[in-house]
Amino acid sequence: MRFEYLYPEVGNLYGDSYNFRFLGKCFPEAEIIETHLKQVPAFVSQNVDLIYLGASTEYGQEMIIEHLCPYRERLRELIESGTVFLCTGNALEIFCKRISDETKEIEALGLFDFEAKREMLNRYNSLFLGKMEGFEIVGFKSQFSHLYGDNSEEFMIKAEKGCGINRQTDLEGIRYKHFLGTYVLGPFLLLNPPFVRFLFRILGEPDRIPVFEKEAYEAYQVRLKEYHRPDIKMES
Amino acid sequence: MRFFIALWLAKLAGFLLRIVSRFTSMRGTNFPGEVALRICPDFIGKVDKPEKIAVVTGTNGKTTTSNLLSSLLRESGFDVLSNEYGSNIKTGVATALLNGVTWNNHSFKEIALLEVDERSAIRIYPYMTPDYVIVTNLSRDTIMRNAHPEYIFSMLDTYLPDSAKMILNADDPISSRLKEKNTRVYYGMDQFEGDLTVDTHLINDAKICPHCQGLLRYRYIKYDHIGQVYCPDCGFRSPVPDYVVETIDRESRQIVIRKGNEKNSYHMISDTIFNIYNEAACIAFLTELGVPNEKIIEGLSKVSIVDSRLKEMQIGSIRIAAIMSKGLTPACNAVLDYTVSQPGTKEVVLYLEDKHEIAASSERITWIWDSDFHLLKDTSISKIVITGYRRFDFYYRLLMAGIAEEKIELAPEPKDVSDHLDLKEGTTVFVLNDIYSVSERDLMINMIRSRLEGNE
Repeated sequence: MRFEYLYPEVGNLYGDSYNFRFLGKCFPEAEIIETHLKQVPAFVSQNVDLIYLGASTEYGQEMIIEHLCPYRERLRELIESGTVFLCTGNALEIFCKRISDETKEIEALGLFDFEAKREMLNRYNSLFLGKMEGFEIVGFKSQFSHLYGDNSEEFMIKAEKGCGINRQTDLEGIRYKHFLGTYVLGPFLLLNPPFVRFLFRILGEPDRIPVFEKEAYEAYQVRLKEYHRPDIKMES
Repeated sequence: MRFFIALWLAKLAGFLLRIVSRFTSMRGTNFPGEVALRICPDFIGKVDKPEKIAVVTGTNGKTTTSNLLSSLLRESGFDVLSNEYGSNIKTGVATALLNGVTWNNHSFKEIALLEVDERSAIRIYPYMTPDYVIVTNLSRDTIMRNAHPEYIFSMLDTYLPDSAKMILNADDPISSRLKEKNTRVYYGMDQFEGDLTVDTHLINDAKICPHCQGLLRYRYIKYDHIGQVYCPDCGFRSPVPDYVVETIDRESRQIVIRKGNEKNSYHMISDTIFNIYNEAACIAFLTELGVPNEKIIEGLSKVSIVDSRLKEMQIGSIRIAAIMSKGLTPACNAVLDYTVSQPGTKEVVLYLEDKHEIAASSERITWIWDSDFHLLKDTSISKIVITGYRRFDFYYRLLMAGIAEEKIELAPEPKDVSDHLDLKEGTTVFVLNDIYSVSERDLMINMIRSRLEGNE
């Protein structure tokens, strides 16, 4: 196994980087690659089994787009050939057509037909509860931007509480082949042990046991119960 | 006219509130300011202000720094207007300013020393022009309100006035770049034996060069991302501090600060590295204000950090040190660093959850995955007791950090903590509590004390 974390120095805002650390602990034999902004990504010349991107600042997104632009076609090829991509927080916007805010438009990688709109004075904060492949996903969203476009054929999670890629939809994220991108941010894998099992399946390792899975489930069950409370305040 | 109606009604509200608060636990420290701003939205702009205004802002340490400064200014003979008993947002600032004027809007205070929340920049600085801005540091904070340091930096950089003199932390690669065209002085710290030169923290908010995106390196690192950096690619480097902590003598509780060729010794108000930075910020500001050095030295020998932040006691051979650790990565890291650096055998109690966030909704515990809990692997720590509703999250986190299962115990509630501690002779018990958990902290300490005194 070879896992690549793209730009950990900027894509690490809310506990995101522990997702990758966690994968390293679960696959101690794997080759773990961290690629920094001034380096050529490993995926350009080698096969990688999983590429991870975490949430970044708005300027961080722009830097990442700039650095990934030369490899747009290679990224397309990897996505089409079924390489696993995991994006948490606003990282999925990098793969879409463009990101716009009150003052500018930034051309993104254009691999998915969606557009992100930022509102820097209107932060969206919410807990998130949704379903995917029959299991429940819990987590947090905290973002200045939402994604617009039709993801009805390629959403990742169906929201039960909290919104999808924007406030008007309950369809969250982008799932295309093994590209998995969600606005649910931070320690996504640590919060969602059932998803970890799913991820290991698509990595071709269905029998791999995640480290401290029992303890992860204990914390997950407490959170799940909490999120199912009818009086829980999801948005803040 | 609207302004005067706002002023009078707000003053009346404050007067009534003071009477009510004598007989009840009601405080409402922001209420008069709320009244004033509701009637007159630009109240802060119109209210008469002291001749000099200084604000303290930053992610961590602003309350400690502004409380210290209020006390030190008073010790130096200033008649100070402050919001030390109120909030640091717009309504708290309005309340403080209101308390510093007569009914016909004449300021009777000499100087305003105001703690201002970073995010309130947009709401406060268009109406009030500080002469001095003291910035402690900028780092990641609550994800809901503060988003990320770059966002806060941009808010401060946009809304702080160009005329303000900046008192900045040279060792913070983020906030030291604020208001680059303003006049400024820097405070910082020399390299000491034992300072690391490689960043070992899980997270660093100042990892890339602001000029060329290269990875920054450290000449030395003090805590979190605080230290002197340089960029091997383009030559960017941290500013040279004007006020430098040159010596920290924990035994005699003295620090020496160098300014140019001059060196002065001051009483060390706390031996935690982040509080020494806060003290250096105070000394830099007071000197720039023109306070004679003897007054600063005298003042620092009299002031202390408020009890809610740091509480220490000795019961028999057991030392208890309760440290407030705002449930956020940098603050938590600094406290973990300090805990581990202390001599002797330790037991650590973790009660770091935000009980208000849990009560209102469910806590976003993303920060625990950024924090350096691996430090608690240190062999000087014999036991860790985790308490509170979120104990399963912390337990999982500690296991992932590599801490041995047999070293950790879970106590469902704070009242259960004492029973889980070993309290062996000569041990220090570190109670790390969240900002809103002072009453639970006191309960834990009292129960430990009862157990120890019962044993004696």
